[in-house]
Amino acid sequence: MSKKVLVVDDSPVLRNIIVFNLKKAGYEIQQAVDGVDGLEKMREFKPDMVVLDIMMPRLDGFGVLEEKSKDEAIHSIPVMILTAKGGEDDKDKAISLGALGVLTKPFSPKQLISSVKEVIGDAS
Amino acid sequence: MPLKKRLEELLKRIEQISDANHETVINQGNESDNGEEYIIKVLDQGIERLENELVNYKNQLEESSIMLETQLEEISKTYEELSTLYEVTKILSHTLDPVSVGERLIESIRNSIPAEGIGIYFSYLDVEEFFYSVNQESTLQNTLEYCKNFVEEYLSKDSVKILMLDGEKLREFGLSDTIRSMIIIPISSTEKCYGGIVLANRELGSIFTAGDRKLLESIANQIHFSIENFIYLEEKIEQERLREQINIAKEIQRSLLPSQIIQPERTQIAASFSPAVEVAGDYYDVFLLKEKIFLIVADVSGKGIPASLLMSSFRSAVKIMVHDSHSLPELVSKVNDHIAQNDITDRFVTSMFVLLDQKTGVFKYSNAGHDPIILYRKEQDEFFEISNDGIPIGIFENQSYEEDSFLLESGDVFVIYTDGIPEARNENKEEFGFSRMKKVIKDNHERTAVEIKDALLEAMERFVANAKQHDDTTFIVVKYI
Repeated sequence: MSKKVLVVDDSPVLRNIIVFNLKKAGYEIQQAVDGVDGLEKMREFKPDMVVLDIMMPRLDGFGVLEEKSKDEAIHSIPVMILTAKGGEDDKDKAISLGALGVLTKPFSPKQLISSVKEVIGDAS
Repeated sequence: MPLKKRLEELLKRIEQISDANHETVINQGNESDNGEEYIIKVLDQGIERLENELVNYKNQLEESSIMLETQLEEISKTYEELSTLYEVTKILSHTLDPVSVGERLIESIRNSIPAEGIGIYFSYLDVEEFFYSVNQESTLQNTLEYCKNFVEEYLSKDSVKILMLDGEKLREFGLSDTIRSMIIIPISSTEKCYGGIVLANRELGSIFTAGDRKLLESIANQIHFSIENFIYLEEKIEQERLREQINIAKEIQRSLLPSQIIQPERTQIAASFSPAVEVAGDYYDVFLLKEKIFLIVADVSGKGIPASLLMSSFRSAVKIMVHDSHSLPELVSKVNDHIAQNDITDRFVTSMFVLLDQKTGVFKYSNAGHDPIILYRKEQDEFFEISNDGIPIGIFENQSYEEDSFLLESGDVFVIYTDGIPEARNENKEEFGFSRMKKVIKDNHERTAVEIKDALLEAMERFVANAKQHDDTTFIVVKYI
């Protein structure tokens, strides 16, 4: 059984790049297009880890983290944040809301994969 | 529903993707004997057509999927490269001296281009360093030393170009079998090469690609820019440091020179002092010594703070010992001993000592390696160069110096100077020289000492024009009335 990763990002190109690399590494992938979709898929798909963008319509990454922490079914799923903004404030806020780490765009896809591996181990 | 009706429904659905017109088929079916057989045959064909369409779609989908995968692979790779360039910029912007981040730069390159061996060679100012990282299992470990030497030698040439080697070309360059592919990107402008980036044995592919080259060129450019900035900064710091030293030296010198020149009865005295930008090594003084006039002009070897400190030492020695000495040679000798004993540098002072009794006109002088005094005798309308033997001050102890004397006559003019005057150069590198000096003195000998001094200054300024002054110019003009 492959480990499962949920990718939540409103940019289809970036989502595809991340999904492509994660699939290559052997993980089973689900995708979500915004924060609301992301929360639903978390509850449904129960991923081992979530890769979560900050700037999204409907519900942004911070909103997702807040909602997630209130839901016992999903609150312990580890989350890696992606952000285009480089500010220290954003990083601090994400960590304080429960994120494990923050990657700033443009990030190295290889680095993302190794970060995922660090958190949940290899795909199988 | 009767069978026929059901068959008609089926046909309609197939018709949506097939070419058959179901009414015709049904009618045909009614006309032939085996109506049901015929309809089944058409259904069969329709289904076959459906199957073919499906297989087509499946193939197209697979092709698109493969194309998408390939494109995604490309995009992902480009994104990785972008991230690497961004990372490199960040690394370089957080440091002044690029050599301090050599290893981190290699790590960044490794993220984008997998190669068994990656190295960066830095060669600028007093930096000479080769950072490298080789996979542990790689066969390159054995040829590392050779590779380093090869790269350093290649990058030390003038006008270095990018080198991409594989296959036969590697052997042409004399590289061993363990190297399958190599790329060297110089970190350079058209004039100067500051080192280079080298990669050997690309993994995932046998040769380094144009894309690899482009990325490495961009990184090399950034490193080059960073190095140039660093060099510029170092130069600026050094300039500032020197300027500060010069300012201090000048302050010292200025504080030691006389603020006013005495004007005894029978003697007109005028002095001129013009320091060069970087020097501060000349000294002069005029004062009364037991009713006689003591004059001295000195030139300290060297420039900057050490020269001005030696000058200070010299002046102190003269000022103190002049009261203890019974003659000029004794004074010069004492001053010489003092400087030779106490000055730890290799510097020396040339100096002309003069004692003038203005009542009698007796002119005594002692020379320590200095240029001769230029004397213009009004009566004879002739020039004389007044000097005697004596080595510069500060070289050897226990030296003896000479004293000579003569009688000055009314109207005589003499000039004691440092070599900055005759050696002053114009833009054609010609020297002002003694002839020009003498001409000015002669042309103006009827005028006052101050006027003669001004005339000499003016002549020099006109001669030198826009050329840079490279030495202090100091002189004293004395006219005996």
